[in-house]
Amino acid sequence: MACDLAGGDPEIVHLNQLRSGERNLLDYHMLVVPGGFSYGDDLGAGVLWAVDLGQRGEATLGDALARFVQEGRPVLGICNGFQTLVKAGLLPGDHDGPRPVTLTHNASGHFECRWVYLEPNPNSPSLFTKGLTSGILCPVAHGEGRLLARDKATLDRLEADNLITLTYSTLDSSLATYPANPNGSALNIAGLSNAAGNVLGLMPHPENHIFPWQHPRAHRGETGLMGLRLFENGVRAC
Amino acid sequence: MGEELGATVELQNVDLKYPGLRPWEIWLSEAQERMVLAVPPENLERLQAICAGQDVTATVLGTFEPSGRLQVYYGGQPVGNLTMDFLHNGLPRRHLQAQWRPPVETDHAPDEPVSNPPAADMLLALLAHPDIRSKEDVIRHYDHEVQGGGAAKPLVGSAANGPGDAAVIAPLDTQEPDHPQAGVAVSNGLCPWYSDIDPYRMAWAAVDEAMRNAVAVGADPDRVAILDNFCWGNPNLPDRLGSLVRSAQGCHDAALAYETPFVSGKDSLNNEYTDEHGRKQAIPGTLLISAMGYVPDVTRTVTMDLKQAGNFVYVVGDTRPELGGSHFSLVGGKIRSQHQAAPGPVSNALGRLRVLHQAIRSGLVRACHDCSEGGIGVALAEMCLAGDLGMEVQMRSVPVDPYYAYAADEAVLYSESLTRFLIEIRPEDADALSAALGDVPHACIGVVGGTSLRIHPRLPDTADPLLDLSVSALRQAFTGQAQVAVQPAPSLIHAVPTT
Repeated sequence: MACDLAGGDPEIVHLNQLRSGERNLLDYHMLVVPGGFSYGDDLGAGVLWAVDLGQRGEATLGDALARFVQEGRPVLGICNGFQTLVKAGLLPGDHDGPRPVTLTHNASGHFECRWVYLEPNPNSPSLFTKGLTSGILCPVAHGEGRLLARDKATLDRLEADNLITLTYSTLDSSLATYPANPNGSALNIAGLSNAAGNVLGLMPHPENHIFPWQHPRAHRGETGLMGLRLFENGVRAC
Repeated sequence: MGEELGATVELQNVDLKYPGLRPWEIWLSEAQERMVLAVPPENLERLQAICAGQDVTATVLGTFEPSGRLQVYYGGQPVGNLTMDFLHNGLPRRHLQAQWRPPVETDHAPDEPVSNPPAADMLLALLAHPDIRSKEDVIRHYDHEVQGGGAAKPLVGSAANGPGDAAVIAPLDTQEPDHPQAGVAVSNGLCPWYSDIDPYRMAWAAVDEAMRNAVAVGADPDRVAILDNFCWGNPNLPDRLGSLVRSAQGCHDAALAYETPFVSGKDSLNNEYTDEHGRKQAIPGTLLISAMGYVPDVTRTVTMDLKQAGNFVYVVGDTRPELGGSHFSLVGGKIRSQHQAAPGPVSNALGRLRVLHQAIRSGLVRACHDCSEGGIGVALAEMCLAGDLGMEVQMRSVPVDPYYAYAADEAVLYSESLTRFLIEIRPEDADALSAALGDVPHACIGVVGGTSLRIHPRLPDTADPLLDLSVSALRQAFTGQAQVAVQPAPSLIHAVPTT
């Protein structure tokens, strides 16, 4: 629906359709890896789906996806999709050795659903947040959204490279603590980009704020800060 | 599925999770996430292709055929063969004894005016009562924004901590170009404390509450369907069955009065426990009514939080001092004997709901909250804490059934009479609202503003307010962050069975 409103012509494609060759990933301009659950989130959220996307070799989905990313086509991972992109090694991007960041159980220890305010990083290379002068208001709904890094050097590098594209923040710019940061993510990280700027993953659900009436204070006359703009930027970059 | 035709089933075709199941175990297993479909033979191949594409197993179990029998085979061997008529109609009807008697009053309630703790203490105790206090801790554990359909959230207001009357869900893929987005209000009604007094009134009150909540957010009262969910004791005992029958009569009569169909339901019976004297006790007869109401336009929905200082607050519907089983009594409030009835049915409640719905659809209503647990008093406090705005309220303006014109302040403030709402409107809409509500009892009782809820008593010559509480004090009690001076009377807390 969000891709549609943003001017795209989206199609929901099942993983099996890509694997069987019924559909070819490289026939598309943009990929959204959506939220929800995959494989019951057994072994950790997104882990098994990441295995599907990470398999390499000739004519594998992993190779097609690597080429898709290599060519700069936009890829947006939301919630379970973000977890999958991180666990498949596509975010924050090229790295040697073990995975530099992960998404793990919320600091609160339980699933949580609430609206959050996301501040875009104006220096991020992400094509999705290009030109965004105001933040995004949208809900989170997850149990494993706490972004943690392997070490401080990793966080420093993410910050220096401006890959931290969206952070949990507050509308009055006060320090974001719980519940503004709903899961205890390091440096309030809500979304990460790759260095090329064409892959973005985030835990919150921007696709759930694409109509004014979805605003949590719409009945109080408040509007704006919609998540639709991420999709518009994505479609524009195709 | 085969009741009117007949069916033949081969159990060896059923996919099993593990081997070694006997035929009757395969036939009766309640393993989850399985569905039986009736598929015309010419569509079978297409269905199997769809299932295969999603890694879903699908097997052919048998055929429907006009035999009038259910014939079950395992590896070609017959293991069951019954007529459909016997299967569906063969069970002989049981005859059970049912008996219901109104409760016997053991302690004599006073006829004279009673004295209660200060009204402010009572309101804070009510806000902290487990039935009333914030459910945010629980609600946030569930995804109430799935697929972006939340047009009215379960938690509303300036800081998303107010208790919404009902959620409105808009299925996004139903949007038609140039048409308003329609939605569905999902609400419920639950009044178990009235059960011991009168299960008939309890059932009626639960239907009324579910309807109120749906209409309060913008559902059309003529397009509401309801479900029942009974939790009761052992129905083989005449008194348990008697109260169950009486509540079912209440459901029947209320469904006809509100012209709303019961579309489904479920039950959980035999909820009994043994008390410290070795006696069997049933849980309070508990009936949950869930309602689903059609919302024509999700942009014309209403939430319960106060919106704007200077706006007027109205009460819609008249109040009778009906405090039997009320939350006022649960937190230790004393009640005069003539006020101890459970809330009774309101004549032409549906007409009242229709009129309110029209007022909401025409955009006159800025906030709407139903009066339920804790009556007008709690509803006022909840509207304040959700909107982070205060209010000045004149109790003498509340329409009261003339028969009870001399009822005490707290009997009016905390009565749980049915089919009542509080609404907020802009001052300039006062005439239009009165015209819309017509002969439905209603009155302006307050003005939004300030940072505290100040309620003035019904006696005109009293200078001091009945209570004056800051919005932050209300919120602290509601969120469980305040010590409340008044605690529930222990005798009124039912023991909870452990199984």
